[in-house]
Amino acid sequence: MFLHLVRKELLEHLMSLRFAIACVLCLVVILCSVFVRTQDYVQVLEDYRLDEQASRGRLQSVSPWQILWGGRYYVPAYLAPNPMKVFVRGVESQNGQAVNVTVTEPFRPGHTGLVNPATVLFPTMDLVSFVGIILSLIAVVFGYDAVCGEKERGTLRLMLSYSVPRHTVLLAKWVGGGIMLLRPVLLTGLAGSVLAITQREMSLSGEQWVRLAAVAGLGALYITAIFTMAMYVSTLTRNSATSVMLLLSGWVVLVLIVPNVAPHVARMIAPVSPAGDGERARLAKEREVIEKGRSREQAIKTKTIAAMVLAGSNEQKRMQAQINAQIEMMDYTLELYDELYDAWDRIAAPQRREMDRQIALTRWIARASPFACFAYASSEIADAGASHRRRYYDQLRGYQEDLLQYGHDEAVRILRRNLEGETTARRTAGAGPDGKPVPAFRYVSPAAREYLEMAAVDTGILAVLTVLFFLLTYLTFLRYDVR
Amino acid sequence: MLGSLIKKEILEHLMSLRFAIACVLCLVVILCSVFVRARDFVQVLDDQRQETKMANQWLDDLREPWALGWSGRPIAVPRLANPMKVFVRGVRSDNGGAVNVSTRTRLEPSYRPVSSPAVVLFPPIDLVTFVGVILSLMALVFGYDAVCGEKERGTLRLMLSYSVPRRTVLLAKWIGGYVTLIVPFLLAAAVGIVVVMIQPDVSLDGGQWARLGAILGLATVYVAAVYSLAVYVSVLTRKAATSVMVLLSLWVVLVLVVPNLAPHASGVLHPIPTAGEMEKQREAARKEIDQRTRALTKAWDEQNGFGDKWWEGFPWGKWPEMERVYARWIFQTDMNSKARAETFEAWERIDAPRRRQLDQQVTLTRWIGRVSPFSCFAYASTELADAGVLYDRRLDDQLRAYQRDLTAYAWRECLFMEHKGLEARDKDYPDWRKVREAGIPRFAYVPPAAGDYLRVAAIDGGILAGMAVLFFFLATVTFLRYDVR
Repeated sequence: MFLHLVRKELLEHLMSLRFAIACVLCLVVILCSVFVRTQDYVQVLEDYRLDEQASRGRLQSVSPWQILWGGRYYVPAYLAPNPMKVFVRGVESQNGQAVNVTVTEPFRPGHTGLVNPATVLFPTMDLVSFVGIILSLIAVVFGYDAVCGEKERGTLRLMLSYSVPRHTVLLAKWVGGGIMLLRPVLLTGLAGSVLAITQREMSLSGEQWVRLAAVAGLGALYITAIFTMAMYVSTLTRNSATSVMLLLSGWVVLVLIVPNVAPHVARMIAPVSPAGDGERARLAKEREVIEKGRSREQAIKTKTIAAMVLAGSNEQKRMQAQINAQIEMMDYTLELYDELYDAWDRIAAPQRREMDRQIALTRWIARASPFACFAYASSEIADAGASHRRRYYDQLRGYQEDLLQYGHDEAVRILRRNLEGETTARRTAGAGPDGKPVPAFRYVSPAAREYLEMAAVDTGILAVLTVLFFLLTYLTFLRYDVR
Repeated sequence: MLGSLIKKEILEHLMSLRFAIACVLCLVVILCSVFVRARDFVQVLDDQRQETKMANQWLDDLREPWALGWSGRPIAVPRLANPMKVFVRGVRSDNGGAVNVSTRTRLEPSYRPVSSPAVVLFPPIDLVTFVGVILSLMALVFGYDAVCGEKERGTLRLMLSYSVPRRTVLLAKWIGGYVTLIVPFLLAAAVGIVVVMIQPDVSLDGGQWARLGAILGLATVYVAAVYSLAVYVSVLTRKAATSVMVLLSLWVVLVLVVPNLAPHASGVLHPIPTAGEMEKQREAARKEIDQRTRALTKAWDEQNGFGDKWWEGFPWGKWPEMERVYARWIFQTDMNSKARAETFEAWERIDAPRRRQLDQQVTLTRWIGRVSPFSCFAYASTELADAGVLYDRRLDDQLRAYQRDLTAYAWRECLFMEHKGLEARDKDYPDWRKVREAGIPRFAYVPPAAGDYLRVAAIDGGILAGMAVLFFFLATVTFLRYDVR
């Protein structure tokens, strides 16, 4: 009996206008979105490769002194474009990024160039927006008259006059509707993936495929939750006009309003201190360190002059005294920067903590909306979410320290070679047999397990919502007046 | 008769669930949105005042022009926080901010602190998004069963059995439904405006009030167009379920899909070179000019007896030997001044075709996007709020002009001070702040004239009005032949 009922539901949906519209929408929007975003990715990847190559060439002629004392001299740290962003836009609208890292200042984002401003006004639709907004609306349309529609037409009364338990009828409706809803989605999603990987330069690693499948699974769970909610409202109401009205209002609140309002509510509850205070403290510390450096430089100069006086007319010894002074100055510079970096971290720490608290609160408030759960979890799985941004900035901070250490080590190495008498040694970083090239920034992605941990709470909430709505639907349907 | 029919429609809507939901949504969302955005604006304004004060202080304290010329130290030029952005987000999600203008490098946005990533994932709802997305959906819900719903209930047949013309019935339905939808919106918007105005530091001038009025007017035309479409589909279908399905699909396509796809379609039809390619050309031009300048300096050095490492062992501070060094500095400053002007000219030449192509692409995007009433409304509103594509372009043009003026000024002053140093000989340089002929130029954004705003919004406003009339006309024509049985 159950299978017969499922079949009836499948056939009913199959011949309906809503199924045809769902198919067309899925096919057109998913394929267009994937095609456009893949093209963008390929273009970004090409630019990234060219830029990185040019930057590597430029770094071959840089001296360690430029890295250490070059003021606004910067080394660009490139973040490779993420192919997962073809499907999930995440919290940064651009794919790939260049950040100018100097050892003397906190890093600042690079220039992104001219873009069509219309893309900012209407951000590109990715898989998450499509599933989260359009498909959830289709799920509402599939479920709004599941029970009350049949009641209006009188077929529910007829059906229940047979010896079929109510839970079987409900389960069949849920399974049939769910299958018909997910079928066009999965098929066009598959077509979209095939379209993406047939584009040149576009390739996903095995692990990325698994994560993409996880995003798709999460999308299916989200749609099921919305469909179940639609069925619940359908059992709560007696006519489909009321049901559609309630569901559309609920959809507007849950999909459009709650996720947008959540960051602002969180900002009011857990505000972050203004950046100006931290900036002023940072500048004050910088001035203090510069003063300290000046007095130490003066002391070293005095010591060097004394050593040169003692050396008399011995050119070799005079030069040794000068080089030793430079090495001492290098070591002291390293110490000063370490002190400065510690101070930056100390100054930034309260603001970072406040920001983390605000982000966590935003997520918890937004979790009232299934769309927010889905969007947050998908962005994290695609390595394009809030955790990615934090991880990236932390790694950039580490890179800044590596760059400082490198500048120091290379400068000292060159000076030591000068001290050993190799006065013709080139003063370029990485030159010579024992020279090392300027380190390049490499973003380290988290382990697979971490992605799952980041998405676990949101996935759990979506699963609980689905089960809860189904239970409520079941309980309401048991007492539903079919007349 | 028309009055009675309108009254019937209004009463029917007033007692319906949809009206209650529309009222609650309008009031809650508009109030929350404007309250949050007004607070943001006040914060931005406060930050900006402090930043502007610091930037002006730095400029006032500048004792020599070399920091501007030779060092190319950037001046943070604030983008004035726009109170209209409380209502219209525009093409930039941030309000205010600053642009770094240097005499050596390209314009670049000033460093901004990191904001909550959730705001990027879910951009805040402004009045345009509310009207464009949520209110348009409400318009569909108000109109989807205007005719077919009455037919299903059998009341349409009864009504038309009286001596009332069909066009009067339809007009009454349209007016009744539209009024019950637009009145709660306008009331909520009025309350929202009051909430904004009682916030400290938020004030609009006469021109901005007029433009806000124009945006609200545009919103009413947009809602009229969408509502007419809903009534038309309702006349085309025989069942309310079919009508709602067709309308929701159209809504998805017109409100969500078309505006998003338009920029990409225009990108495919009218591609432009990537920023990376332009950057390489600019870098090559800069290198070529710098090399030429270095070669000329070297030739000058050779002619005037300055060898390699000439500074080692030079009798610094001794005159008249120092005259030679001053002559060299003056020559170098002059050369650099010309080189910088030439570099900016070269960059302009390189950027010009891409900027032209980008303008063409933007125009094409707008024309493709105009298939969607939401795009028309969003583009026109952002331009009226001075937060749209044209504002961006205007600001960029004015900043570029300012950068050229600043560069010319900085190098002129460097040259002037070199001459002053030569005159002063072994005395200290005079204080630049006291001897300079003119103060450091400051940037002031010049907004367009009121007529320009209207001209820009006229096409989109016209298209929306045309759509409203067209859909209503089509609905009337179809309704004349509608089978009410």
